[in-house]
Amino acid sequence: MDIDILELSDRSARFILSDVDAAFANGLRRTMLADVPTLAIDEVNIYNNTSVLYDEQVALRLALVPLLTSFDEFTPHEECSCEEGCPACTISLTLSVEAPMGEEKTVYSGDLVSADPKVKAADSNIPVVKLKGGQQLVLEAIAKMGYGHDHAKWQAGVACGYKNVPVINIEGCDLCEKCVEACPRDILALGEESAEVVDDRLLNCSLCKQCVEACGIDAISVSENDTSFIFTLESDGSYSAEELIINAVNTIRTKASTLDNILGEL
Amino acid sequence: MELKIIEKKDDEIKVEIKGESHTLLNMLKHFLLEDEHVDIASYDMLHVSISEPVFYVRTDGKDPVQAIRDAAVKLTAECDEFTGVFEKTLA
Amino acid sequence: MDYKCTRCKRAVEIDYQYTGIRCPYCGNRILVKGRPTTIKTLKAE
Repeated sequence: MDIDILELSDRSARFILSDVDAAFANGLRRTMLADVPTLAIDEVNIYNNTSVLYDEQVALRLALVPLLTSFDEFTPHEECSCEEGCPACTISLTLSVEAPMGEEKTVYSGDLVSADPKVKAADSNIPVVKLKGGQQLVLEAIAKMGYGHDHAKWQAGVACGYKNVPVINIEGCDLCEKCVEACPRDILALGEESAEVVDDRLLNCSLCKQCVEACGIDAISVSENDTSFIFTLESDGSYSAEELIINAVNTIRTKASTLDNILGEL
Repeated sequence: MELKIIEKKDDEIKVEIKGESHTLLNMLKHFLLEDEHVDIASYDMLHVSISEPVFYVRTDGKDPVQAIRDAAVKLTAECDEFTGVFEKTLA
Repeated sequence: MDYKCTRCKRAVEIDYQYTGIRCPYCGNRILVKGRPTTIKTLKAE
């Protein structure tokens, strides 16, 4: 197995994962999307809501706010030994905003105040509702740890996907330049003796095979490498991209060892 | 995760794996098929949202439970390798 | 349940014996139901 990181920022990553099978790559992708637990608001106690939105709408908008999560400090609610919710699987956040008379005020996700300073809205500038002068929104929100397969609010990874690394072979080229013109992503260029893949552009190939069609003498072939994948992922902010990858792998490992343990007890 | 054995013979097993999906089962199937003693390894979900997946393994005589355990260990090793390589790449 | 008259803004008790709705203070026939002071718990989904 080999990993080559192309880009790594706080919220997104792009890397080449090679010498693995599609099964593992797909497992990793699916885990990042649906099986890495995160915190999200699940229950809302509304004390007062004189805003124009219904309580339910406010609750849903709050639920979709990504919360910074520490993976090890919380247990997913459904796996917790408690039934009603306890400090191991839930955390309480409060929000209290009133617009001054005669002034408008927008409630932002950053107005949520949590009991634990480590848990807060990943982005503080998500608008929740706009209040007119004198309107009030006071509530307590209970965040729970959950899985993306139960509700999108618990999805840690958004826009996670991969594609195979393209393989372009050119043999017996007659320098007609048709493939260079056909390529929509400017991957090919004319070399001295044949058309060539431009340095560093190979990964941009979308495997559209327009170059193959354009070539009159079948000199070019485009295929994909079955064991190398270009992974692209974005985190919703509950984890950094790096943490998301590591948490996803840890989740798979836990699943595999749980299965092994259960079978061992049979 | 909860297992319910539906059928078990010396060389085959049919087991319901509650609460799991393609994520784990496809990887497990892949590692089982790498095992030369495994003839058939597959799973089925009757309905995507209401059924629990049923995993089926048939071997050439090897204990099928052991075959699944071996595949799970291989998957764990793959994860360990990934973490190792990933951390080395970052360092 | 608390009702409020939209014209004189006073809290109004509804007289269920009387078949119509009317503010006993100003005679206005539009009353609004106030938000209860209890805490409302709901699932966010």
